[in-house]
Formats: sequence, C-alpha cells, structure tokens
Amino acid sequence: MKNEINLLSPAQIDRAKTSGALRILRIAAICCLFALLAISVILFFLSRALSPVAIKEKENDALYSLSLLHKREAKLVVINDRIKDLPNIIQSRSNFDVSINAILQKIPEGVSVNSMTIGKDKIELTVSSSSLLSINNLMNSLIDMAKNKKIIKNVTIDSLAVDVKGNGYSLSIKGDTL
Amino acid sequence: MNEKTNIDINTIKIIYTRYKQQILFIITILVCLLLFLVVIIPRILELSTLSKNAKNEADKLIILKNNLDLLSGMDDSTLDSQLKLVSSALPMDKDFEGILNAVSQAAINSGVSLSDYEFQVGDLSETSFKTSGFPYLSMSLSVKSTYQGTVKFVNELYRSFPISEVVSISQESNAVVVKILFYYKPLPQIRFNDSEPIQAVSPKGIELINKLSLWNYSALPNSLTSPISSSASTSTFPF
Repeated sequence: MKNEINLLSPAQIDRAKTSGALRILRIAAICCLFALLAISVILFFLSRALSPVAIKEKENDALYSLSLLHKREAKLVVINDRIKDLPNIIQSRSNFDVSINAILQKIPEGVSVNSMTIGKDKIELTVSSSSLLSINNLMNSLIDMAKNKKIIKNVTIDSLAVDVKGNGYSLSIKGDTL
Repeated sequence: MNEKTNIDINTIKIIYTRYKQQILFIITILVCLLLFLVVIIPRILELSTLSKNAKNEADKLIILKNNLDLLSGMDDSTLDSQLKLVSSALPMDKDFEGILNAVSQAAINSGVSLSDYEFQVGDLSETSFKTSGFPYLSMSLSVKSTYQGTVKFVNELYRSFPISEVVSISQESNAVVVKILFYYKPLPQIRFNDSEPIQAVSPKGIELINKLSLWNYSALPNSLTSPISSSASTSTFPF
C-alpha cells in the first residue's frame, strides 16, 4: 500500500486547515461586533433612564410654583420664630403671687410693713412695731423660711433701729430669692 | 548556517493576499476590544455617578413637592390670624399702643387704679435684673392698691399682649410701684431656600397659639385686629 496516494492535493489540505481557523475568526469578529452593539444600546437606554433632565424639569416647575407661595412661607417662618421664643419667656416669668403671700403671712400682729420690694432675685422688707417681741417673731419666721428653702435662701438684717419718740422699733432686712 | 530572511514589500503583499480575510477579522476583533476598553468601560463607570446624581435630584424633588403640598394646603386666613396673634404677643418693635392698652385693660379687669407711669426707652445702663435675652421696653407704674390687688393686676397683665414680665414690686408711700418689661423681637432674616424642608407649625405650637388666643387678645384695639391690607400704611405687619 502506498502512503503517497492521497485523494486531496497538498493545496487542498492546506486550504481545509486554514478555512477552520477562518471560520472561528469570522464568528469571533461577528460576535464582538454584536456584543459591542448590544452593550452600546443598553448603555444608551440606561443613560437616558438615569438622566436627571426629566427630574430637573419637574424641579423647575415645583420651584416656580413655590415662588408664588413665598409670602405664605415668610408668614410661616415668622410664626415659627415667635412660637420658638414665647414659651421660654412665659415660663421664665416670676410669679410674685406666691412670694408676696408667703411673706405677708409671716407678718405677725402688731407689725406694720413700711415698705417691701420683691424682685426676681431679692426681697427687701422694712417693718416697724412697738413690740420687739413681734419683730423677733418675724425674724424667726423668715429665718425658718430660709432654712427650709421656701421663697428665700438667706436673710440679712440691714438695720434695727429704735424710734425713741414713737416708742417703737423698725427693722430692715433683705434676702435672696430662690 | 543561519538563513537570512528578507522581508520586503513583495513579501508583505504576498502575506496580505494570502491571509486577507484573517487579517480583516483580527483587526475587527482588536477594534472592538479597543472600543470596549476606551469607550464602554468609562461609560459604565459614569453610570454609577449618573445614578447618584439622579437619586439626589429625586430626593430634592420630593422635598420640593412636600414643601409645595404644605404651602398649598395652608389656609391664608388661618395663617394671618396666627401671625397676628403671635406678632401681638411678641411684636416686631416697641408697641406703645399695645402696652398702654394692656396696662389699662389689666387695671380694669383687676379692679385697681393706676397713677403715674413712665417708659424707659433706649439702652439702659443699669441691668440689675435677669431678662429673657430679648429686647424690651421698660415701664414703671404706680398701682393704687394693696399687694394682693397688685398681684391680681400682674396676673391680668401676664395674660395680655405684648408679653411682659414684672421684675419688681415695691411699696412706696401710698402706692405700689411695679417695674415691667415688655418684650419685642425684630423680624428674623428670611431667606427662601426651597431645597430645605419647610417646617409647619408644630402641635406644641398650635397648642401655644390656642392658649394665647384665650388670653386678653380681644382687648386689643381695633387697629390691631382689623384685616391686613397690603396698602395700609398704618399696618403693623409687613405681609
């Protein structure tokens, strides 16, 4: 048997080998082209979908509508500004009702109030009486109030004077309020 | 023995003729790869930035829509009455008329009579008392009454506008002298930034407004309770 006998010529064999590779290359090129095209189209549509242009148009419409309502917004800002501050003022106001009543209740009989000043931070009281005992009772009551932290936190005697002509005594005291 | 191979133009022509189709396909593949690397990949990376921008703009749009819904749903008359009320309670400037009216109405309601009173305007050199931190107009007035009557007067004044605070009560001769501060506050600077959420009046704010409306608000003179007109030159309100 002769090995040299071949139905195909060398050129044909060579041609058959190269056509296989060519087919693969052709398929690969076409696939690359199609893949590139598909990805480009997908990217195009994704970019359009994610584009903020449509949203910006709606924003501009909303901004225009809001510009027509700026007067209302300004009124609301002022209202909120006042509402923020009013409770602080109202709550920090001193209620002299309790202080005055508490002090006046401690004034014993026979003692008259010459002057009384009650402020946010302090109380000043000037009383007079013909009885030193009554004045003493008043002082003790006020000291008790200070000890028990009621209305005042301390008591200071400014002066204790004797009115020889009027036969009486006058006391000036002051204290810091709680 | 090394064979020398000469590549000349004829050789290239022969190679090209023989492998023309393969060369074409290889160039096509290379160009596609190049386009993918140079154009497609950056575009894909851009998408994430685009997505973030779109989300930010969408969030901004939601805020704008909420602001628009809030403002559109507001009733002008309710807003005006609320504004009038809180502006009467804490005026934008020294409200002499309101103060005098509040003082006289409080005196009538508490059954006391007033004698002398004086305003102290301008900067006070003496600030021996703590204040709420707001500008105020100080007033000193004499009440012809007892301490209890004076306390009643103060309680009535505390339910009047403008908002006031008594800083001292002192007895002098036959009268009780009351030192009062009437607060006011200039308008805040209003800057319209529609991208920020607008705050509606809170429930606590509504509660406060309802509480204030029960006070001696009706004691205000007609000039302050008349409807707001844009052309009114005597109007207290700038809106």
